[in-house]
Amino acid sequence: MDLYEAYVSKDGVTWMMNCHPQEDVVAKVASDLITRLQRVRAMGLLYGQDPGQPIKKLEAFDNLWESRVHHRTGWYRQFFRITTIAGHAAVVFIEGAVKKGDNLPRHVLEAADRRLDGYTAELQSNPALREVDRVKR
Amino acid sequence: MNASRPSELLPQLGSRPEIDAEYAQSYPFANVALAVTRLRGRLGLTQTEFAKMIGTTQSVVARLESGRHGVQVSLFNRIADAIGTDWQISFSGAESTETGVDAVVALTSGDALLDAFNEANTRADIATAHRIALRLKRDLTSARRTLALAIDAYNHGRFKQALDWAGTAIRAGLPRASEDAARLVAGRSLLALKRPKEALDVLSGAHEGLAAATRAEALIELDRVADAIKIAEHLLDVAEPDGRPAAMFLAARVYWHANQPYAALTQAAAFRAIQPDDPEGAMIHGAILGYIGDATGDDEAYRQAMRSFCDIPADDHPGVLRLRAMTAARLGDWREALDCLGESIDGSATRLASARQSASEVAIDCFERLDEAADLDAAVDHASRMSLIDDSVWRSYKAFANALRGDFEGAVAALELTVDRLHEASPADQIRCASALIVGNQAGRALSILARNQDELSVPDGYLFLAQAALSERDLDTARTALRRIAQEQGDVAETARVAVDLLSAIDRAGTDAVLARLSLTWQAHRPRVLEVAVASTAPASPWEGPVKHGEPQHDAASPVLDRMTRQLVSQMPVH
Repeated sequence: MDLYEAYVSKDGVTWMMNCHPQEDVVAKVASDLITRLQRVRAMGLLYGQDPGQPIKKLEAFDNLWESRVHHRTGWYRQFFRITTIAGHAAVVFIEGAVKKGDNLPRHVLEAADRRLDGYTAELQSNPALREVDRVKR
Repeated sequence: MNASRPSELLPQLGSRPEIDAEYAQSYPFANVALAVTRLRGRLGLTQTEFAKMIGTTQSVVARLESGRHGVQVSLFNRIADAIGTDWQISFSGAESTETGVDAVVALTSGDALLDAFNEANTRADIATAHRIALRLKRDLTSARRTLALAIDAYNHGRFKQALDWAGTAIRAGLPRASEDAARLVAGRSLLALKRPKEALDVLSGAHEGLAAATRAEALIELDRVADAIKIAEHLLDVAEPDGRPAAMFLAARVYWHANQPYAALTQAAAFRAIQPDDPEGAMIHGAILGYIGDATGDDEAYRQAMRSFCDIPADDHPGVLRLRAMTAARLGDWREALDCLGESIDGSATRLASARQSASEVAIDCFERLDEAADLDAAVDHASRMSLIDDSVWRSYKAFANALRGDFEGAVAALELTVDRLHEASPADQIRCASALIVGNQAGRALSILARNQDELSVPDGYLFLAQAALSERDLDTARTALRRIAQEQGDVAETARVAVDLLSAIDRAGTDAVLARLSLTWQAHRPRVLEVAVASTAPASPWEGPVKHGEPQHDAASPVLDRMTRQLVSQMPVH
């Protein structure tokens, strides 16, 4: 069994499926992102501690993480949070951002942090949403 | 069998067979990888620790967990042997040809509350772990529970408590792995408490990993540099290929702290050659180059340092902006320096006070490096617009800009004072104003200002200025006192000052006023640093997080990088 439940917002799935105009790029990036999600779910923070692994905590925020995938078309960075949903440890993914360079503007990160606040609260209060957005085991 | 195809995991993706196909092609052994990853997660071990437990290397574990490569069945036997269990293979369905392997092991401490602490701690939920620790404290039935309290205290920076709990747990008797963890917590806590000798005792048997690294740091504190280097070099020797970068990183730090910047630079460069994208590597590489730049005055070192710092993403490592600013200041690019500082405080609401304080210190350092009045004027205004400095700093350096032009009255006016009220200003501001009189060749007018503030004067420039002012006013006693102060130091200027004192005494005895009138001290072309400037008292003690400055160690006992590594390790340390 995995250590964590995992949830992906509807916007997160939409972003994943539309992160690039070319279908083959989307397939590559999405499969990489889903692999990362499985590993984070399997072992949580410990996964991110391994040097060189593409899971990263954004230091300026209390609980904002990113899962990075590098493709020749850019860096695909999906945001997530590690928290507790309905009494269970959970990783909560939302949409991400694509960038050529290494830095994302701070306002993008702040928006992601706020979005995670909102989505986490929604998950806490809405069992139906949890059912829909929970990543299957 | 668990779902593993993207379309099974995330039905919201809809029908996207190309994603499933790509996943199957890229990660043909995903099920095997996940089974091992889950097992490792449950054990709370890093890849390196897990590899050590099963007698292989981290790279083998990483390869296994990547899901991209097949694995020999014998490796599963080794894993099962190491954790005392068995593994089984199952096929997920008659229609499927996939192979699934699950090596799930039920491994708990036999203590539900302790398990809950471990669970929270391993996902770095320090707040929850702390709440559980408070419950454990009410019922301290085992040494392992006591170790949990030590870890909790360490996580919160309460090093004395961490030390006490760790000591209690060790004395009560712990399993080997937990005792090692307790000793590491105790050793790092002692180092943080500036008790390096005891840290060394606690970790006396450690020859590997962070414990050995901690010993090296303790040895540096005890000024046993050679022993510290021995440990670092031993770790370099014994490191397996996957552990070599970490050993290089440690060696870079130890050499640096041992004031061997070029040896440190070699290790940092080697580390970066292997892990060019590692921000900590870029950070130490740049910082060592900056330190070398300070020692040699070689701008090329600063340029290379800047390249290293620019490799570090500032949104993840905001501290690098301060280092970029310091480097830009040394390269004479005050605008870049101040812009970096502006960015470093931009939006950092949670760290506002400390970020602004740090930015202000670097801005002042930047001002001190400017020799042209126009540049200083513009820089001070720019910094003020970005709220990097407060009004008093702004006034001080506007005054200094006027002083650099030789405009004494203008300098005083910038302080919003008049000449007859200058004594109300701070000693530093008074001296800054008086330095206008050097530039204007009116040293005599400065005598009273300098004499009443001579404790703040720099050596030698400030005291030379005082001597010059005193000679202008025929105050031979003050001139002699000032020159004697310089003569106490080492070097050519001090030697010249000794000769000047003798000469002055001879002239004084002869009463040769005509000779005295022709005696003057001349200034070198550079801007005299007349003030024991504010930088010395307000700037970070060691701007590059460096090792030794003016012969005195300036670094923290526990180096921040290793401390961070320990925090990461300890924050996830399961109490077995």
